[in-house]
Amino acid sequence: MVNAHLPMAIDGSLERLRTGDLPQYGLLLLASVTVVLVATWPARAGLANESWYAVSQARSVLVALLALGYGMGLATEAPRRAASTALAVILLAVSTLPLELFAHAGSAPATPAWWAWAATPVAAAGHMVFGVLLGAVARRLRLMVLAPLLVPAFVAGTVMVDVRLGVTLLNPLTAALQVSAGYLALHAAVALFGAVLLAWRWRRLEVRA
Amino acid sequence: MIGRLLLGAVVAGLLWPVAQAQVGGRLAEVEIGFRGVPVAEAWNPLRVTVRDVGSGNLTLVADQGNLRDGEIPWTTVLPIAGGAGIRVIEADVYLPSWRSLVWSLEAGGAIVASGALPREAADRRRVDLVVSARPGSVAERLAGRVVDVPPSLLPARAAAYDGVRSLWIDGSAGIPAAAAITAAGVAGAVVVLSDAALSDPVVAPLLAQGLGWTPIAAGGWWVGAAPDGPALASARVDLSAYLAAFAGAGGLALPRTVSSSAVAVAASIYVLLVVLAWRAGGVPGLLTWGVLLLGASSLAWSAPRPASPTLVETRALQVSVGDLAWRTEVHDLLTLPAGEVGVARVARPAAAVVGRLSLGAVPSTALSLPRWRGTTLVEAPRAAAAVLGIDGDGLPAALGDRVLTDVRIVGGGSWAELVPGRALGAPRDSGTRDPLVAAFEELLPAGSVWARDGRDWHVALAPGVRW
Repeated sequence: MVNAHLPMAIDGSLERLRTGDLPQYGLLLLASVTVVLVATWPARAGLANESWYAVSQARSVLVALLALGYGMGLATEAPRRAASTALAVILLAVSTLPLELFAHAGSAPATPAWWAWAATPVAAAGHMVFGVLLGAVARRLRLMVLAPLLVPAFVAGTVMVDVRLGVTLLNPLTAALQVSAGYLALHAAVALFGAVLLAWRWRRLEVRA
Repeated sequence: MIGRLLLGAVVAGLLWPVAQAQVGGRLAEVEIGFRGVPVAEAWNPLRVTVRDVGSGNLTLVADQGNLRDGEIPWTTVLPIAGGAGIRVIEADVYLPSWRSLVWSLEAGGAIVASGALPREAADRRRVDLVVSARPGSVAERLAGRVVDVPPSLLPARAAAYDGVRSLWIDGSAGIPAAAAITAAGVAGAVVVLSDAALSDPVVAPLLAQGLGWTPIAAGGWWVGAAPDGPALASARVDLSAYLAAFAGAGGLALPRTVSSSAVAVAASIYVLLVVLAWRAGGVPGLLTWGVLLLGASSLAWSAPRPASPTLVETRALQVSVGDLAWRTEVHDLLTLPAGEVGVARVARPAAAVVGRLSLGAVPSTALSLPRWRGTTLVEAPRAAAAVLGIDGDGLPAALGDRVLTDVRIVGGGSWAELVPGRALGAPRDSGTRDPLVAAFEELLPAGSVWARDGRDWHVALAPGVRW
């Protein structure tokens, strides 16, 4: 079912990335990561390169904010457009990876380079589903007007919960720095749940039509 | 009757722990330093005697920490090949200045013996070894850390004498093996031989150059009026200072990285191309984006990446007089990711750092370092063949087949190179010296010669007596 709709979703996602607000947010995301990279890159030889720590955390949090923000609006969109938006956000998140890889190669941290490549698409998809849930709650409570505050508040909340529990399951801040199977598994499960839900909605719409 | 039985039981109960302790004491004896007198911040001989104990490991943990940094353990592990009967295992271990030093012998999954050295025993003063039936006379003369040792306990390893200032042999308690005397001399100890010892067939060949001062490597032996403590102190070459200056003159620099402006330009171009690929849309845009992602990732991975996350550079320092040299190798380490780095050698860190020395058939030294940190490992000293000497005219002479460069006489001329079998040319203009090199040269006695062989430095000390 998902496979049948995938080409349409990819086509739609490329269209979403070409026009509208998403390319602007994408440019803002890439530019922000670039600024962090350049600002934290050692100014002269002989200094320790610590840029990856700032770049990976900034990138991870910004991608999470973007995914949560777009996730909040997904429930109100048509299934095809929602799938296109979700795929476009994931493609956008993946586009930031070379910048992090550059910082990783220069900083030589203990965290393996593959971690960002594995976690980014899964976490972006997972955060979008969290965004959908957050949006549903906000709509039920008639708090959608507070969406710009709810998104960063949600990220801050995940950090607090993880810090309190002493684990890395939810928050994108510490997950950027260390391999966390729990973080990956949780977001993969949430993303899968979201994909199945979306496909079911799309299928039901087609049956009705 | 019952009273006697009770009394017997009480006595047996009281004596049982004593008996157990004696049995435990018989299982293993560990002697750190000569006759159990260790020297802090030096290599010390370690003698382990085990009785009917299976194979295991002896572990020494010296905490070099302080109030500010907390514990900084330096761990030494020595494999013990046990078995039935008495076995003696000897090795050399480095002892830093410790807050606490504990050892334990593990065999068959259980600790069979353990012990500790008090903090007060962490004395950095070199010891004076006396092989004599009357050690008191030497002790009165030197007023230092005098240790009475039987000749059979003197090892033939230069590293064991790292903490020894002098070795006194008067022949009254026997004569140590010639190899042990030579090892002490190589390590920088002043071997004082009395007239009575000269008749011994072991000592006689050592005095081929006659009476007085016979230098060898960093030390030598003396036959004549017995020196006192200050004379010995001035006679001993300060190898620690040489080593510190040598280590300070090298070291690894952090890898050169891509400039910030290049990063800004490259990242901006990438962002621009990504946006253009998105603008193209459709399959061409998707393909362009994919190629761009892979190409940029490949470039990002290779451009700023150093050749290796861990860099190791090895240099050797040799100090000699005559054919024998005191040699040690210095390993400069630099690690970019945090973790354990090390070398497959018996070495010690130049500064207090968490580390582990594993002795045995395949020795290794590993240090736990934070990221982007460099440090220096110094190998245990050993005897080696000298490659640089001083001829009868006080000029540099090549003793091996190596071409030496940057040859200098301390307080004299300098030459660009010294080729074996070729006459030394006219001295060159000394020119300006690297301050770190100059600092090293200032430590050497006037008339000494030093030269480079690649990254290795060779010193031929002026052979005269130093007091």
